[in-house]
Amino acid sequence: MAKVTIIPEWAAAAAPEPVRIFGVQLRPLSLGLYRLLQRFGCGFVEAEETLVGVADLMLGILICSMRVDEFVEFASDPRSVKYLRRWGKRIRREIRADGGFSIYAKFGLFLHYLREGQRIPKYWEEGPQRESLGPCHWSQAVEVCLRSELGWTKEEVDETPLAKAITDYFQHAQRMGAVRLMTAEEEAQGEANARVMEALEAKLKEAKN
Amino acid sequence: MGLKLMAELGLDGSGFQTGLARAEGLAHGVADGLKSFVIQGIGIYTVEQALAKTVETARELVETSERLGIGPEKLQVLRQAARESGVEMDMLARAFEKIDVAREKALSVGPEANQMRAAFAGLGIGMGQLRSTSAADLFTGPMRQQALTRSPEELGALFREMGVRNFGPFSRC
Repeated sequence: MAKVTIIPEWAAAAAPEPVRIFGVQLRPLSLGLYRLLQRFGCGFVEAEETLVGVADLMLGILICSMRVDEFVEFASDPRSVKYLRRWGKRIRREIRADGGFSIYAKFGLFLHYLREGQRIPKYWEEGPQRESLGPCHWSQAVEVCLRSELGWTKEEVDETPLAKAITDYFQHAQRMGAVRLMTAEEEAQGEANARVMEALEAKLKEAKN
Repeated sequence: MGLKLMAELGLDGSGFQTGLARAEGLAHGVADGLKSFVIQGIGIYTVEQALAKTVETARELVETSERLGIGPEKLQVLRQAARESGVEMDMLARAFEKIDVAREKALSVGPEANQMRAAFAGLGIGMGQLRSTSAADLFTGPMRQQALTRSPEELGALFREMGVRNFGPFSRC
């Protein structure tokens, strides 16, 4: 059986640190939550460069604080406005109490949460080059693979941390001989090489000037 | 994932008006339905308050940055470190001002100048650095290095000579 390597940093991403914004605890980002963010036009997950505003942030926090089925129910229930009013009150209290409040810090926190939740392990492509998937979004490719090849259920796709989904996807790709995941040592060596190259480029630039 | 954060909050507040107009636009259903529903639910005044406080914080940051001679980015890092150490930023700013006064004294002539120079020398700061480095840079550079290797009591005594009392909490920044 081929040796499966789990990069420690990546393994840690599969059980992400809890994130709390405006008093709301976010659930680990999952494929289901990611799809909801896309479905409801949250600018943070747009593929193209997009302007994001306060509404995108609030919507993103709300979506990521609930299970997929919970949010779908929440979005169609007119009584949800009561929850939103209470939350608004909580937010205003936080803004008043925080002397150094900046909405940009909250944007940064949410962005960090999204980036940490969808980190891709470093890998080498192996074997013959494969054809592009065409117009298929990466999240769809991952879901198709998880459900058809690894037998994940809809519930698992909706609620399992995205980091774990991506790990399983890449480990499957490794088993199929399409990629080889880097070991922690290889990753560290790669980063060291990148730093050397950066320093070299800086020196070359300096010499040119 | 391409992303460009909304950057219409100008420090003069004019951008703030633009931000408000956009937020109001959202609340009136110009933009997506669900986003609009969320903004209406939490209240447009919540968005107004968030934007107004952000402008206020940015203004205060620029003013403090100019007063202390520290770049806004560095000041934000320092402010976060102060917050995590339980130190009020105002206290830290006052300490910087006192270090600046002590620096001026050290660069003058007379017995007090000698005393100040000795205090700075005790922290590994020579005349060259006193002439060219701001209080904030002295604090985040050589003074911070000393805080890693020396006892708070020892540092406290040197700082008291510069007029900075109750140094204890600062050493954690």
